[in-house]
Amino acid sequence: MRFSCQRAVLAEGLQLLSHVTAGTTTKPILQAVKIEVSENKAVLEATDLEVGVRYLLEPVEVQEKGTVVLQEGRLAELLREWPEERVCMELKGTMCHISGRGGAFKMAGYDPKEFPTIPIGVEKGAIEIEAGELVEMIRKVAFACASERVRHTMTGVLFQVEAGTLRMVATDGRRLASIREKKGTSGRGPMEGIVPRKGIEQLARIAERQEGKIQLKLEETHLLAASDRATLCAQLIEGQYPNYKEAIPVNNDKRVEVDAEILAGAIRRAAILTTEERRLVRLGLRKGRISVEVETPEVGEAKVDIDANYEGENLEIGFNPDFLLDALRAIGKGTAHLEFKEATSSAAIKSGQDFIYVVMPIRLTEAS
Amino acid sequence: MSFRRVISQTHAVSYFQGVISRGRLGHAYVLYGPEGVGKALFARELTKALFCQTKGEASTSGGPPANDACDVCNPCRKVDSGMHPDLHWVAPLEGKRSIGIEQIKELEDRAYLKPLEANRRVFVLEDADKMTEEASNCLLKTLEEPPPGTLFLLTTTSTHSLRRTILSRCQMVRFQSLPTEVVRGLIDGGRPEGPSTADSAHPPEVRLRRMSGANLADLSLQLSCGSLGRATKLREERVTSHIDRFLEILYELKSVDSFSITQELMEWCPDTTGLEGRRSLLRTWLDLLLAYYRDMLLYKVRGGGPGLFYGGFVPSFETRTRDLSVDTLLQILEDIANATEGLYSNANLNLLLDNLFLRLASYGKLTGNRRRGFC
Repeated sequence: MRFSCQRAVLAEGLQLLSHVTAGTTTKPILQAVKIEVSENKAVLEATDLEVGVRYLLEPVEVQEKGTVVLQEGRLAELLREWPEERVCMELKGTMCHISGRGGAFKMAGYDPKEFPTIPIGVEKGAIEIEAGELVEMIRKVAFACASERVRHTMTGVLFQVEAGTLRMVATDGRRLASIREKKGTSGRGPMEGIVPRKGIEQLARIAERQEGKIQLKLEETHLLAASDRATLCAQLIEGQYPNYKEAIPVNNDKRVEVDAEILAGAIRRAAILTTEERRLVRLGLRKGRISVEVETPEVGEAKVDIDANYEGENLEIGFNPDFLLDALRAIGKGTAHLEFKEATSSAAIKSGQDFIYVVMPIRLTEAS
Repeated sequence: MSFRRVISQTHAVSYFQGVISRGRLGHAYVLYGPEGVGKALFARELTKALFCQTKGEASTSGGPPANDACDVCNPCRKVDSGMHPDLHWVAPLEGKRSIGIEQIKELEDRAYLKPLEANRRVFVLEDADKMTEEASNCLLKTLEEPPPGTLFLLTTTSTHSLRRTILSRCQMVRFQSLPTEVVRGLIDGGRPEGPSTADSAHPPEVRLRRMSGANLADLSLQLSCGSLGRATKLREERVTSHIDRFLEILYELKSVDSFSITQELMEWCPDTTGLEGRRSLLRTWLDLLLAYYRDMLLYKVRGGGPGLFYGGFVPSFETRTRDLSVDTLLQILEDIANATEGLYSNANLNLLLDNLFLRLASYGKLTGNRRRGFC
């Protein structure tokens, strides 16, 4: 094997793959990256047996085809320190020679035959989605996944293709975020699968680097994704996802329209006076305004009034400020539609037609 | 490889072949028995038998029997290389002595993924007794409600170092010591080794102190107590190159100073092998020492006879054991056992050995023996 390419090209590929390789493992080859050089291209590949990624290096100059498996961390570090624009790699025996003005290096490789093979490559039946929108969708729901390992299905994000539209749902049992793709894809589906956090993160990284569309396919046991240069295979979580549709309130009649950034600012300021033990803000709905109030014994009190478009009855309702801020951050700029029913039932925060966030309130009587 | 590679564990093999063919495989098993008798090997072979593509297609022409692995299909090869995505193998990480909670958490995450290529996921915890307390508790949670289609195989040498709560959620399968002849066969490739003729030319006194290949082979086989792993360890060059000197120390106790024994032992176990390597080597020597005093005790109680590891030392045992009562010998055995335990409790190794050999020396003195060496 012998090829050369821009240092930045290889470094970029390794950077993407560095999140795939296993952290701690008894099998060092899972911390390695495979470089497969064929007649006119070179492909990087890494896997920890849970997530696998292939990445096409472009452009490269191939002198001789072949395959080498090298420790990812060392190679990436070497490239970071490499002083020259180009880097040349050549396999001689089991040693990979890396040479140029940066010096002459020989790195011991693993036997490519030992490198695990995982199904990679999207064929038929995939849906296509704009990479930018996919990143945005992931950003808007993935934070709501459960980080505790109480119910494993909730540690991942539900991918659902229904009537040709992709929907993502994440919940930790106290709040839920759901987003639907703006424009339906061609009538594929239905498909469903729960993608674990590591797979989601990797999918977002691939999508961030892609300009056009991403192909997605949910198989029985894994998710496949493909961009122009990268392909991903992520295993799915076993089990039945909670019925999220039941959790979305349908007849919340007290509706408020408010600027998301202004509300977020008010909650952030008020939340300064909460404590870890008493993480509670009270939203007070009056005609034409919302008040954000905090009362923490021995710490202080806060009251922030902001204008809002509200015509309904008065309502006092308590929330964990972090859960509200997460939703408002996901909405970013724009109007947030808040929908309430009563102080003890779940509230919905919506933005546009596609994003729905559901959050359980904190009972004010119990908390105070 | 296949179950046929698992030697002398017919009970375990037939038990698992039985439950597989009846479709009654449980979700968790503890494979227990002495070290180095094939528990981990068995776990791997069982995984292969479950994942193998051609299993069950019992062929009449010498192929694998039903419920055994073929060794040649893709899944079998992946399991052998440890690269099957549905097999997750947990053992203490290199240079570590315990299985940490992080490893169990990772296992837990994997346990809830769908099997990628096989129809189930297999989790092997090698030396499961080395789990830290937090790790055990964490595993317990998964064992209590195992995700569907998972199989946990825990291997251990001592069931009592596993938490009861874990044991109660697993089925137990015992692994036996291998017959000495089997270990010999495996080590020497079935080559019988008679006593070398050159050796018998020496007078018995000299012969004792020198270990010919054959004597050493026998000693290592006997000391291994039917464990292939231990027998192999005893034949490592780091042990064999010092065994003559070790026996000399045992034999010429009079002239050996307690501190210099420590020094010498520490030199035999260089720290180039890392702390764990050093511990494991020292453990081997302490085992050899333990076996020596065990022989003395046996001799004291019932005179010579079969079953002694150091048969060649018998002529010297008469004078040796004269000053040592049975109680003292029992105490010595306990001291050595304590020292062995101390190896793994972060004790300073030099002090630990000094302490041991000074104690051993003091027993000799207490019984009126004024030799400088131990007993």
